[in-house]
Amino acid sequence: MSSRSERGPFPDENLPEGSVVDGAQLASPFEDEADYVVVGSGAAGAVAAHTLATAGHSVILCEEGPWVRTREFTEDIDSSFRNLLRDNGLQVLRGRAYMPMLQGRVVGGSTVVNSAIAWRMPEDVVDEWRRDFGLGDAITMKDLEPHYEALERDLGVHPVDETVLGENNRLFIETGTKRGFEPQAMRRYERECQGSSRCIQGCPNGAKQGMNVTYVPWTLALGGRIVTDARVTRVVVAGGRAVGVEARSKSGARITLRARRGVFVAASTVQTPNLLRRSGLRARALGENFQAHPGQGFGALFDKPVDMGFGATQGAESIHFRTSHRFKLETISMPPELATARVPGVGAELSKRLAQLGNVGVWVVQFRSEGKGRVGRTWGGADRVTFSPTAGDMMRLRTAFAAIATMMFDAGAREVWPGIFGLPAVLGSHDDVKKLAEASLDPRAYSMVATHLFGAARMGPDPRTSVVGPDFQTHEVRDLHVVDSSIFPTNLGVNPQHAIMTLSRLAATRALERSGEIGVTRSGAVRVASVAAAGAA
Amino acid sequence: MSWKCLTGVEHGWAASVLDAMFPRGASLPLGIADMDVRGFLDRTFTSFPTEPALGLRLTLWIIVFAPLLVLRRARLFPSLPRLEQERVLDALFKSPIYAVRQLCVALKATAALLYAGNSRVRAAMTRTSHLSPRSGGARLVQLGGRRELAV
Repeated sequence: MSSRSERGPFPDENLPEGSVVDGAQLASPFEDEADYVVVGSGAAGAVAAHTLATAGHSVILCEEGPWVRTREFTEDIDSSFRNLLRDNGLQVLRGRAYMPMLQGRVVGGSTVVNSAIAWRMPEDVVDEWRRDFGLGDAITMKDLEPHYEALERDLGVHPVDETVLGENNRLFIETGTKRGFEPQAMRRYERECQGSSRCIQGCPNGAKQGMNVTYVPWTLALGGRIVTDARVTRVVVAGGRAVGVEARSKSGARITLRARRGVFVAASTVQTPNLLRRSGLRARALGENFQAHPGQGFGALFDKPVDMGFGATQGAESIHFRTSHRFKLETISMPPELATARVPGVGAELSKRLAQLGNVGVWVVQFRSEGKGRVGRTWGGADRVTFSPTAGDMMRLRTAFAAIATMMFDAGAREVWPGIFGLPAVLGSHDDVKKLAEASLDPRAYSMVATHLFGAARMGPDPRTSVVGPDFQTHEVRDLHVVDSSIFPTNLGVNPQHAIMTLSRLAATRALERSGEIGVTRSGAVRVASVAAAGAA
Repeated sequence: MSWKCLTGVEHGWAASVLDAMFPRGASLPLGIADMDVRGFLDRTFTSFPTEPALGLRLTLWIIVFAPLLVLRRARLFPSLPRLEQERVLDALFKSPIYAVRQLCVALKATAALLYAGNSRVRAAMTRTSHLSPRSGGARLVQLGGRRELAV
């Protein structure tokens, strides 16, 4: 298998001259103007920008983080997290327990550091939004279909190829199948994955189709621009409509970006609500109804090699329990630095286990929590998110943990490490799985991580209970579109990137339709924003 | 040097604590003491946001003075023999006080960035036997009744 670097440049190289303004280097105030300004270059922002650019509009993206190029990605977690994640990966949800949350802060956003898992929004979620949140026919499965198809075509969505599945994923599928958990190889955005197991550190082969190597460079190829290392301080509102943004570069320079037609905010569930607050919005629902998919991993020591250093970082999953118990099971191949923290013991005992890390696999429970939190600000103006799982969540988690531990022992694990306070650090057999039924219901007994964040600028028809209308514009300010997962009325129970991109594409398309421009046909064919159609890639 | 960085005395404590966690002469080729712990901690404390940096510093103080409560002995952590150091750490990781055990886990996770990031240690940790799954194999596993995977 040849690497891309042998074949030619990566898509984040040789960009159009003048298309990238590096905020870290700006020495004086900077001003620019376009039809649309898009805040954030992650899954939502990049897709919206590309959709608008494909329709012939000028677009400026403004990204708080730097552009770390494919050739600059490193294998070690220390520098990867420092360069790619917000606050070095040290952000936490505060509630009954502290729960780390990981967000990309880089061109491409979290798509640079996630595992590129593609899930169409489940129909029951769309129904719930329509039934319980007043969205009616604003978002239907039929509306979403052409956008899914275009995105999947553009980003090469397909199941993990068996040649790069890796043992951690293969074991999961094999044992899950025997248990009747209907496991499957994940569908991911990738082209020619080499199985480097480095999705979390940024794909070194340009195989993962993150926004940094797809919609962002494709937007620039269509004449778009991007300002990097520039934090948007507020959206400028005049006459009741959004007319641009003000930002501050990393170097301290003041940046003014004027928008003739509107502003798209895609700064993430945590940053968007506070940006809207700084911009003068006062909706009562702003910051409320935050939701997440917390998860916890189990490590297992096998007698045979698992080699998490090879294969798709995340390549196998089961949604068998999604509707009945609100959880999803999946794999994750952890780099040694992250796996080490999950290995029990200290000193010689820890060292002995670490020496066998090649025989360790990690599988994860990710659950659709019923808990609701809040996105607010500290006295100093920093983001502060409060969130706790509910008692019902914790009850269901016991079932999830038992399922994972059982699968691990089925697969031949010699030890399973649940990492739950109050239980033995090491489970040694199927008999020990029973102990998980007595696991504490206190979230503080666990080591959960939240990777999928939703809500806090919820969509709905009523300005008293929502921030954004069914047309993706805020109730308070015209031409101010919000297109990230902060608008989701609920969490999903599956990985959200595909839903985020699809809704963003739908939002941009509808903005074009409202302005009377040729855009999308409802019968299926999408005439804007397909890379192939635009010939831009 | 950032105000968030450790003092000389604290650096000494940190070296002792991390050495107890990731010792020399165990099953891996290096101990953390063979690495640039001081430089790593300076870099870490400088780049970390204030709250986590203060949390890590607090952890160090908790561990150093923990023998008073855990062992009921008026000695600081660095002066204990290795086995007693491990006992103290083990007790803190299992502490009924949530903040204490979480802070200790955070310190372990932070130190792991240095220790497991070392290329020699990493290679030894992730070494696999002759049955490496990268090589593919003979057996076939039925997937979903239609796909087959070589394993």
